[in-house]
Amino acid sequence: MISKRCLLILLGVFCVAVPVLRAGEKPAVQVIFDFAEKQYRRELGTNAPGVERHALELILSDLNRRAPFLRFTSEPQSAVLRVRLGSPSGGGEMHEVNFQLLVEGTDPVSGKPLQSGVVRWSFRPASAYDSPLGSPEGLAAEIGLSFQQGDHLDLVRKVLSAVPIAHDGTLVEKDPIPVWVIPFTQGDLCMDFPSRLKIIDELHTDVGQRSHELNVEANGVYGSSGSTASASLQNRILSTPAEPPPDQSIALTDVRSIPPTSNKILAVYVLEYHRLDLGCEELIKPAGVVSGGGGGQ
Amino acid sequence: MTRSAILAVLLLLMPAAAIQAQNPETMTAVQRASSNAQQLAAAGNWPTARSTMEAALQACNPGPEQSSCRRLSNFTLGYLAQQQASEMSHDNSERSQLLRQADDLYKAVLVDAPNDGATLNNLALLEQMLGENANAAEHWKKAIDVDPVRGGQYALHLGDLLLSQKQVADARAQFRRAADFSPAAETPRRRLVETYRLAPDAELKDLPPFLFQAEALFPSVARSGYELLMSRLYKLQPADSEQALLRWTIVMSQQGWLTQTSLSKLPADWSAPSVAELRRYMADPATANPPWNWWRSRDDRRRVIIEVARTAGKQLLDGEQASAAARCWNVALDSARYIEGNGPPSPPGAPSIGSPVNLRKELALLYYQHPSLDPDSAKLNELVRELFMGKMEAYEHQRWPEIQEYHTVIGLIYAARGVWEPAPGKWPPASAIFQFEHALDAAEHRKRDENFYQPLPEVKARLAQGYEITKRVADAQRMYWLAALAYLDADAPADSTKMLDSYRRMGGASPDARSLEALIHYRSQPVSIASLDEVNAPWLFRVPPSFGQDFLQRQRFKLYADQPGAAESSAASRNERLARAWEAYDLVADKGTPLVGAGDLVRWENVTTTLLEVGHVPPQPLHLLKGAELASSRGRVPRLVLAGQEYPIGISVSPETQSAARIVATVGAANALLLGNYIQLHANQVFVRNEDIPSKIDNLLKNLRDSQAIQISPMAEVPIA
Repeated sequence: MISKRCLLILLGVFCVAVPVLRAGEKPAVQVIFDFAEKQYRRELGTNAPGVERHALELILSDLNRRAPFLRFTSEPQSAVLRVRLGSPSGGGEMHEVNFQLLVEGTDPVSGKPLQSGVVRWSFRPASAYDSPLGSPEGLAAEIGLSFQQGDHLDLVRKVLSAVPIAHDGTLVEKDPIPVWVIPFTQGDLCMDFPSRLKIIDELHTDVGQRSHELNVEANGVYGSSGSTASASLQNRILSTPAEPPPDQSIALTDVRSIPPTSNKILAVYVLEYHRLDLGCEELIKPAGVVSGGGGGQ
Repeated sequence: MTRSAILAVLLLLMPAAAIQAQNPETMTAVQRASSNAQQLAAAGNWPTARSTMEAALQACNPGPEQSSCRRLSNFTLGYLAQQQASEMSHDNSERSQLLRQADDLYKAVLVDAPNDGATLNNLALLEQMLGENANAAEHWKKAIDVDPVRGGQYALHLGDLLLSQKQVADARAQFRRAADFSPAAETPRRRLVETYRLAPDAELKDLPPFLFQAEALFPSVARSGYELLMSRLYKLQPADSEQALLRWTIVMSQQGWLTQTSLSKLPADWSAPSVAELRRYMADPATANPPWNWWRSRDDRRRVIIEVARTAGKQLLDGEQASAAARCWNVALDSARYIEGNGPPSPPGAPSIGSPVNLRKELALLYYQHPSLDPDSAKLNELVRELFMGKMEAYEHQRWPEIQEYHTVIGLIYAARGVWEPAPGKWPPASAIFQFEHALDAAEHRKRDENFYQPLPEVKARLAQGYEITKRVADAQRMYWLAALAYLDADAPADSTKMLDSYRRMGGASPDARSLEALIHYRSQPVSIASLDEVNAPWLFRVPPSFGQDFLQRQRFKLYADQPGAAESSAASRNERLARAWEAYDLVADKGTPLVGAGDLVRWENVTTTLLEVGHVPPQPLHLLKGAELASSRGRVPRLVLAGQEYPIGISVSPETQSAARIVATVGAANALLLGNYIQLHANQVFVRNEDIPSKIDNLLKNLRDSQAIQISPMAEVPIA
């Protein structure tokens, strides 16, 4: 017989392992910032954890602004973006200090391990290794500023593309070309078109299941012109097969041979992200309460 | 109660009384209702959201002084109706009803405020949803004219509408306009390139100049544009497509995007030598016999080879193939020998293309970190020889950033070997001292020519150490002194003290040393605002000979800016804080004092936050300018110098910050704070409350009007979104 305590633990494990994301809800990724450069840490002494904390805030703010298809947080999550600055064994002259970024952990829905490539961004060139670190606040700002100048396109392509942004979606058409709708609006992801996605598509047939990995292009929203759009899919991002390479004609023929109702999207990944950096939300919101301030002596 | 105490009480009571007198509570209530209604709508509770806002509208009085209350209420109700409709399917009958409601509400707003950009925009979007595209276009055109702050967004929407109607040339014009309004935005530039996909071949000739300008700030836009050109022209106009290939290769290499996979973006059946050689090379970048032929036939192309090899070698290094990376870079540097003339042009503010200095530096670093690649230092010696040759070439063409970098790298190599001065009778440049001296000369040259100040404390400290080791006492004294100043610039007072100690150890006895000591003391711990005047810190104002005016200005900025962060709340201290913030602002924005190090960036944020409090504006995110954007920035913008960066970063000053600074400059800090109760800043305008303005405030406003530095408008005209 299972004790109450065990049942609670099991329920807890279940809740952590299979979180249900509502449409428009973005998966969370924990960001861990490690200020690893040995010599710099030694110089900072007891200020090092403070610099780490402050720099992490700046990194989170940058990521949530520049890659808003995921929700970056410092809270523990099963998906982790590790940002390491420098090397724990480094030191000496002529030594370039870099950021190294990679994804690890597990996909909270499928439980599969997450593994990405690594991107490296320069923090200080070798000739500036010995430049003073300045004040702790200044150093944290420098870290934030350098991070901001990194190549975020490359970060998405090589690292963040390892994290699925959804585990559902709908194949709304199969002819003349398949059209998938993903559970986000353009405003949810602040995504400009075309951006590139990867869809893991599972086909259910009488003889069993098979899945395909398809590169698709997000290039419009569902129901923007037609009048028969399903309300639940209204304004969601739609995507069509990307042009080769790679050649995916066999997989596409397979998808088209099966009724859309037998099609299931297992995962959606962002491969190439273009941010809508002007008018992400088309409708302009009314101003809220204007904060007080200014005078008052 | 003393007179001063009574005055203080009156001053404390004044803001509340003033706000009461202007009856702003209705406005605050409607703003709060608007926020609540939006939250309710976000949770899907549309009926309550609507009734909340309807109640707020009822509370607005009918008179002209309450027009802003009615505008915000109607605008919010229109927004809610439109938002709800946009989530419904097209065949839902309620959808068109809601859109009509929103249409009426927005038009009611425009009766009171015909030039409200946000309302015009939302109305245009609504008309687009209803298929009334001509009306939508007209409303966006008007919005662009009357609300330049969001002009980029409106022009982008208008361009999208025109593009959907296949009016390609008109759409392109709007995307250009959006790009002009929003110099840092990538979206309009991406759209602009998209218009060329729909354009006839003859129009493609207009694209390369735009792509060239986009290379530094918007490389992904430039990349897709060049790919478009190549795919359209490679059969018809081979010369133009090869020029596009050259620029594409530069962008891809500089961004580190060039890989075998990225080459698959080029037309598969394009087999010109230029492409074929690139494909062969990227398949095996560590080859000792690279396939370059077309690429070696001109100097500009040979310089691009260097960029390609640099990227390919880094990829090999990332794959932990250090030996292959070394071979890749050595082979590329071989092909760079005897290159004459400049490389292909760079966009304004971007670094030069194909400079071998970076590659040589990378290679030197590689040998340093992997001694097994160069056990007898022969390769490093050869590299040093090449660095000297490269340096001579950089001098020939007066490329000062490169010259400085060459001297620094060679200096570091000699210093690591302990070669501070040449052996007797040997060539003087073969020594660390010579190289560091010339690195500092090059930095001085850049300060004179480009107004680019770099403190370089680590170079000065090393040079001082070199002088000391070689018993050049007077030089060591002088350089330790300069290093002490430079470390203060770089926010390292403890290191500055060490340098000052070394200066004294070398026999330095200038009377200015005591002033420097006092300055280090001031910089090391919080000091009261009062102690920063000419009586207590005379050396901060009367320039000691060995300090220099520029150095003192930089120090004054730091000291003043460190004050506004202090959490003091008395009226006097608020005046002082604002006054110091303005002085710090003035030193940077008007007198051109550079910000040195990221610590100064934090200070600048504090300074602007303090100034903005005058106009009820929350802290604003920093907008940094680099490359072409900095080069094209109108007027003088504050410049930030960061350790290890070859070029300065510009900082854009918001119109609100400029207005706040002008208010303080015109009426003084104490009056600016008084004025703050009656005004709100938005963009480059000051909006003033309409009712019951005391005569003192009226006089201050008159001063502002007379100064003609600021545009003043009634509060009723403040934008509602």
